[in-house]
Amino acid sequence: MNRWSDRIAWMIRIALAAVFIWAGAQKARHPQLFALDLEAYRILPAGLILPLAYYVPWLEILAAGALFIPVLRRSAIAIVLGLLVVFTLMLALAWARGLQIHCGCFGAAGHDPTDFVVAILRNLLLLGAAAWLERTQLRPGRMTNASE
Amino acid sequence: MKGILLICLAALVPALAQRWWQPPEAFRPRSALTDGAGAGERVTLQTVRGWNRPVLWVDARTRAEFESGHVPAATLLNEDAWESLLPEFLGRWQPGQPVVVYCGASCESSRRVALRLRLAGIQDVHVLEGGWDAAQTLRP
Repeated sequence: MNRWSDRIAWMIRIALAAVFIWAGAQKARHPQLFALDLEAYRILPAGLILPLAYYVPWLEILAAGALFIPVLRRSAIAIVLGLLVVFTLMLALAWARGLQIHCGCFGAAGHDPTDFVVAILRNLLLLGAAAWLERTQLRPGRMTNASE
Repeated sequence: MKGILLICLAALVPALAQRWWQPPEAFRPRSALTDGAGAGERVTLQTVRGWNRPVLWVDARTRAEFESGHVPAATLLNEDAWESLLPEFLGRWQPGQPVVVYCGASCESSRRVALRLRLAGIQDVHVLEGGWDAAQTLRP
């Protein structure tokens, strides 16, 4: 059972890392386009848009990489969870306000208005996976297995 | 907690390096209205009419919308077919000529097209306030 659990944990880590590295890399390619996407949500103060557009992609990439570093794994999962919660709340707010925007989830890789239902469901799936990692793999008694 | 701080601080390094290497020179905030110097993002039709120089109009909507009606002499340029439409735009644009981009009234694509043009090195690019609704008054 534990062996299966560890295999699933590995697969989830790889999937989360792939999504975050891909998303971060696409945003980091064109931070100014990502800034436009952030601005379109009309949530953030103008002075924060550009700093976040340069910073968030690299935080995603580094957190994804840290999922494979045993001593940083717990912190990386916490950051991934935090980012997913923030992203999902922003999507939900934009949806509730009826905005027709490009979500910027994967940077300049897309440009059509986002289907918020699909984007929120995708984030909830990722959130569930990250939360499962946090709950089951990093309990004190399992730290050794989780750190292999 | 230390690990979170470490990852967050480590992400600052490439972010600051990229900010230095690729400064955000093409980005214009939504609130920036074009003034006499033409430094802003948004521009009103009245301001464009006051420019005593030929403007290149760019329609950032879909091809179907463009074909159903557009500003006279406007060129189609959108992100759906950026690579194939850009050469036509470049063929019509004269160095130093101001560019005004429009799309639907509440769409964001004109801002994305304007930013992409500035990233391509064309600095005098603006977005029409009111979009296609405002631009329709230019139709013959």
